[in-house]
Amino acid sequence: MPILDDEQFERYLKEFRPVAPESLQIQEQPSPARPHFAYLAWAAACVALLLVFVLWHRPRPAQPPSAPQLAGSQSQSLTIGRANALLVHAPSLREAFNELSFQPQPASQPEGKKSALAALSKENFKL
Amino acid sequence: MQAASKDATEIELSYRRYGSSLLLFATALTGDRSRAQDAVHQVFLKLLESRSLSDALDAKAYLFTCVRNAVLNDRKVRQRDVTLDPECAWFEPPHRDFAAELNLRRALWELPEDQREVTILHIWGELTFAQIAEVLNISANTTASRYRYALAKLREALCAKEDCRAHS
Repeated sequence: MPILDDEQFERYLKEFRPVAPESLQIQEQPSPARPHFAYLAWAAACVALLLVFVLWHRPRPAQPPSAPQLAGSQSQSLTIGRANALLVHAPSLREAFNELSFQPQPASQPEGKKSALAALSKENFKL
Repeated sequence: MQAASKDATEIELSYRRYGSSLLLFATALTGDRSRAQDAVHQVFLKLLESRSLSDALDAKAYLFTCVRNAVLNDRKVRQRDVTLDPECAWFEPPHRDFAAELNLRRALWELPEDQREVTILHIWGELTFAQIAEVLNISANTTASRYRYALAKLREALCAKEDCRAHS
């Protein structure tokens, strides 16, 4: 190596290029479209929940005070036991009969059972 | 969103522009390329997370400071002496003169660490003495003085090696 002054020596040193680093591994950032999709999904879920809530708590038609006692009897056949219960809980005998007269009767009674009306018709009541 | 994207672009540009000299600086401190690479990557990944490069007054000096801190922290954690890896090239030599590259690497490694830092920051990092003073937290006069000593030693070492090669 010839004798160099400082400037020439610096220039000689700069001819050596530093080795390039490996590429920087950057993890993909979530794209802006993904949050929009997430918001839409959340909004849809919230609307569905709201609908379920509204349907569950919607106002129901008002029922007569005696209805809770008779609610179970709408779909069942009228038996002597249930007729007795109705007579006990009804405010008056007339109303009890009125209720009984609007019960849907099955076309035919099972064997060994008879309808309340048939049973009551054999009793002697003084109205 | 646009500001964040601009910051990320600026950081990636800085990596492309200063990555080589930062890696050389870190390698000169660690003696080991993979540890140096880790330190440089660690700095840039943190910068990408925090997007804080635009806050720095002198981004270039700031990057060298960050890399130096990362290397020194790593050294504290590992608590072991640094040694030069002879297989790991620091430079791409002119005219594929790999013997000259090895000589330069050894000559740099034989310098005291404070002089080695200043030499690499000034010649390959292209930092001014004022910037180096900021990075190393010393005065500009001390920086210039260390550089002069280092350059003289380097020249002496390389000339001696060249003489050896010429006579052999």
